[in-house]
Amino acid sequence: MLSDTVRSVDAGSEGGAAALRDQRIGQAFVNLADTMVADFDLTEFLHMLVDHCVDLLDVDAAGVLLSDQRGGIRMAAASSEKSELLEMFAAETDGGPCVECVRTGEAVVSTDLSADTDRWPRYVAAAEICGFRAVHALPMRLRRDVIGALSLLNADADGVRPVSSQSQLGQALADVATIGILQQRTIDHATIVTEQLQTALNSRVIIEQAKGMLAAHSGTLTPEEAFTALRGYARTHHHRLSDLARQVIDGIADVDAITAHRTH
Amino acid sequence: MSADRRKHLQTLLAEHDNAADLLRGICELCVMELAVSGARVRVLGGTNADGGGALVYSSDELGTRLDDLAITAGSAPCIDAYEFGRPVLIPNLTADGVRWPGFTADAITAGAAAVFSFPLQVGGVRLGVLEMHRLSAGSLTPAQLTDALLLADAATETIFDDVHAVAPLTLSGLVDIQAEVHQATGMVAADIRVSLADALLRIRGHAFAHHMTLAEVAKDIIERRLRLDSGE
Repeated sequence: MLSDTVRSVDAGSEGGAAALRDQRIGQAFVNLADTMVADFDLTEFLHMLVDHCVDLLDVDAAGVLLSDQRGGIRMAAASSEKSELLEMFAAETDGGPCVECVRTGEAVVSTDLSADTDRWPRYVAAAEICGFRAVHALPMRLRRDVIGALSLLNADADGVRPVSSQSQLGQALADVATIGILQQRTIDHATIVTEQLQTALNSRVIIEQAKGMLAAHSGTLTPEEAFTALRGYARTHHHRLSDLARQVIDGIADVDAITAHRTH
Repeated sequence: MSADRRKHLQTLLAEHDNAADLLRGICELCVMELAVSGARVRVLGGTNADGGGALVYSSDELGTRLDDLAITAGSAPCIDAYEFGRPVLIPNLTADGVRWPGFTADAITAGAAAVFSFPLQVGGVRLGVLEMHRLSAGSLTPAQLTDALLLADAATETIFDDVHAVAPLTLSGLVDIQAEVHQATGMVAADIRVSLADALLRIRGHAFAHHMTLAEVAKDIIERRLRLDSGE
């Protein structure tokens, strides 16, 4: 699998491509380990994680579900509109491989979702509508603490390949992210994790509200299109997504500029 | 496990049929279930902590004193919880002496050793805080934390229902509402220039009046089949 991915990177010779990819993998691990900064923001961090997955792994999309620490599961980040819709659906209907992964703390893999219709009828139907045929759900776990799951989504059924170097690298990215989140430089680790998880969950609600405000302001955009504009604008202008969303709901963001933003 | 806990706590709260009793019941449950010595609920208004609000219930004198100290200082764990939208958990106030210079020393003198503040809000709909205190230092256990979050959810729903008096008290899962409802809330707020809380109220009112679910109303709004006007 690793070699397939390497071949898909268009950078001259195969050796050059492999070296370039190694460099990007190294950079991803450095980024994900860098959680000791004073203004650490979990929402931003999880978006970075899913973007690295799409960049480095041969997957079409990635998403993160988090435990809400009170028995529920919430969508926290996704790399695309389609994957966001699917993760949200999974969280709200409390079913599917990613939810099982959070509940059990074990990886849950379906290399061909159409073969798992009996197991997750609603999830499989939703995945099909969103254009996904295969999913690898990897636990974000450190020892007994399961904080969520990283899902890797593919548009094509990828055959019988339950253990691949792709999912191993994916798990390694999930692990370094989890360790980064859980091992803050703090005397009370549970306290800071709770504060961060709850902040991320609340940020997510604010992002949804901001999407709606932007959609209404534009007059024509759907909330999902508004999100694409919001995220693109945040990246271009080096704002954190959660900060920008809060500015939108507080009425202090340049909503004309945001809704006019188009990603290329 | 937590779903059972939620049901258990809701059952214990079911005997209360008005907001004041419910909030008192929530604070009493904090004391009984979470090994804290007191709990209180403060409603805050506007975007600034000092922009209005009231101490709605305090289970003991120390809670009332801490509330007074926080509002006087204008800088305290409960105000941070409200402003930043996240729990502020201080298992040992003595070890945290610098964050709230106008609050911490007086709080310790008054007898508090640990405080745990939980925001009562749904995204940008910010209503207040639930704060608990202990006389000796110590963290909440994971099970106590789950209960605290569930009770904060119940308090959020109680205050929202009461402030807006749109429907009978339901504890209807306001904090569990779907993403589409949050999106529709934002759309209505921007569309008719009301606060997010008012927008959510109107969506609930419409759902209640037309025997629809929140999700159904939200879908109609998002797909621009329904526009709630400012009079509704």
